[in-house]
Amino acid sequence: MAGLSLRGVKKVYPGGVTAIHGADVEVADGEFVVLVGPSGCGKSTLLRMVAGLEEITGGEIRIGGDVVNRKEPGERDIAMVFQNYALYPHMTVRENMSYGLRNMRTPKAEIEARIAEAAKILQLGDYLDRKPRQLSGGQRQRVAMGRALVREPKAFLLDEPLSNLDAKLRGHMRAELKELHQRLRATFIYVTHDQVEAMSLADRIVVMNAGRIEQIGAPREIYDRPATRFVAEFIGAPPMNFLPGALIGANAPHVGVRPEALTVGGAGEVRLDGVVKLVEDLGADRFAHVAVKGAEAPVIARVAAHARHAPGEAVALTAERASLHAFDAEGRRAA
Amino acid sequence: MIENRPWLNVLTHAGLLLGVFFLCFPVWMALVASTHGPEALSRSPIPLWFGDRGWENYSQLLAGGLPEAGGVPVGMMMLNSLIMALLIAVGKIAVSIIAAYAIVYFRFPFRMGFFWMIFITLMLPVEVRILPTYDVIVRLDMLNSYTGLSLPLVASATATFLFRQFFLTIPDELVEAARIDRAGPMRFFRDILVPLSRTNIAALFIILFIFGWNQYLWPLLVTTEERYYTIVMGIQRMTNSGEALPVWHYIMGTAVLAMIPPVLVVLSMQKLFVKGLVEQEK
Repeated sequence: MAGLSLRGVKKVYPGGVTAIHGADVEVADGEFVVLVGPSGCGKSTLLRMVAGLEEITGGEIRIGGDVVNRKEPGERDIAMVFQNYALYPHMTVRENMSYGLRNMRTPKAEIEARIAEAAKILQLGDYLDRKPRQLSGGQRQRVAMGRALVREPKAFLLDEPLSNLDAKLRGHMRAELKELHQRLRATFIYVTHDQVEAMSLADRIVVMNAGRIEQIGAPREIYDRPATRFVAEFIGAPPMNFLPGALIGANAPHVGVRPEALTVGGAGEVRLDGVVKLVEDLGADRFAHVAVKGAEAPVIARVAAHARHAPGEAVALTAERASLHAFDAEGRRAA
Repeated sequence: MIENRPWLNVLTHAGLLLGVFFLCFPVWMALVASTHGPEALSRSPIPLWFGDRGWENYSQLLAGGLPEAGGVPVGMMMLNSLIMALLIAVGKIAVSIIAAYAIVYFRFPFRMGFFWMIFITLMLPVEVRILPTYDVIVRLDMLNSYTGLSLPLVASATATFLFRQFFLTIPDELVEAARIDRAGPMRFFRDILVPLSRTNIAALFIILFIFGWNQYLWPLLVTTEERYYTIVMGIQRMTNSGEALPVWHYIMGTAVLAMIPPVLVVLSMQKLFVKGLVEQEK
């Protein structure tokens, strides 16, 4: 296990398209870092450069202190879990897990021991002699994880490992992954486009957009103090509301406010008048979409579970000044 | 489409039975003729059921040299055919899988140029390039040898193309996983690509074995010594009996024997064959 460090890492494709404009990330030993962003933001490319599957145009990547820019993926001492698992279809689970070790000429007894250990952690004991096609999605996912585990690598790289699972299983595997990380205390770099996964798994989140890193920080920090308007909109569901600053007497061009910071009625310092357009009931939460004069999009507010609001009803939304996020014209956080 | 009309079922079955009859009747006639004496087929009516000379005919064919076939025992010709067909099938598969591997997985100058060069040899089967190929084989001193029999037939654009198409369907992630698992190019080929191509290899083997077994023109050209004669040549030589009456019972017997190895290959590999042509192992 070891930390990772990316300094000024750039990726320019031969056609001249720049996929990553210089990324700087420091990952501490044993840290769970999630790269999150919309599709095409370069997060997978960045991970693949760490893995050695993509050439590095500029900058330097260190794993455990050694510069690995020119090293083959097999020599970097990392393990990767792919989105489609990439299990070898003709090999049994056991062979899949041992293949890398056999290539490294690990002694047989040691391979056996490591597989037994990984199988115990991942509850794969009964499936070791099956082929991947005889396994369900969740089991395949575990085998892919197991294949990474037995390598005992310096870092685990995971490229959207849960996106091929159905919603229920995804939630379950997410919890398992978190548990696994706590147990191993290994360095994880995890790529996802799902902000829920990012929030729930990460020690630190790296939010990326269009080949640039927008913000790096702990999940709470990113949620509470988004550095840019992009981060504010991307993290959180339903997303943060944006209003022209003038509408609520702020001197910033754009002001954001999270749905849960708004209350219907109440005695907040800021007040918005509007008409309820529709109410979404998600079980635990209810969200009212309120048309406010002067705002581009309906303002979404979390309402109390017992409150009954009918479409067409005129309501007053209020919020505390402290809960507002001000952004300048370029979308950067203003103080 | 599901239809349930009884008369339609009867009609389709009648059609199928007719087709089976047309296919099987000649084989049946060959079997029957090979168990009669030499004159049975020249007389009318032609017998439709087995005669009493089957054992005699076949033991004569397999063991003794027939003067009508140039004195070469059928067993030896079959062995020659088997060696040639195996060399061609195995050689073609080996060469083309390696060529396809190079073309799909390696970036080298004029890669596509090489691919198209291989591809256009589809238009140049042995029959077209027979004179220059013969010239080459003569200069290499390969007349009357198994190498000479099989080598010119080993290059195969079709098989290369088939493997290329198959390799292109193998997900990139699998290649990347292998790279992370420290599998170099040779290991990747041996441990992953070849096992995954198993069904394709089997399907190709059947097709190529039969292709090799049925070769006629090329063996006729490059063999002058009787110990390299192949079975297909042998049958042809028997029918060319000149003034004498053709020895139909021996010819048919030889034809029946010549059918056995390809039939065995097809039967033993048919499951893999169908799999290789229809489904891709995921």
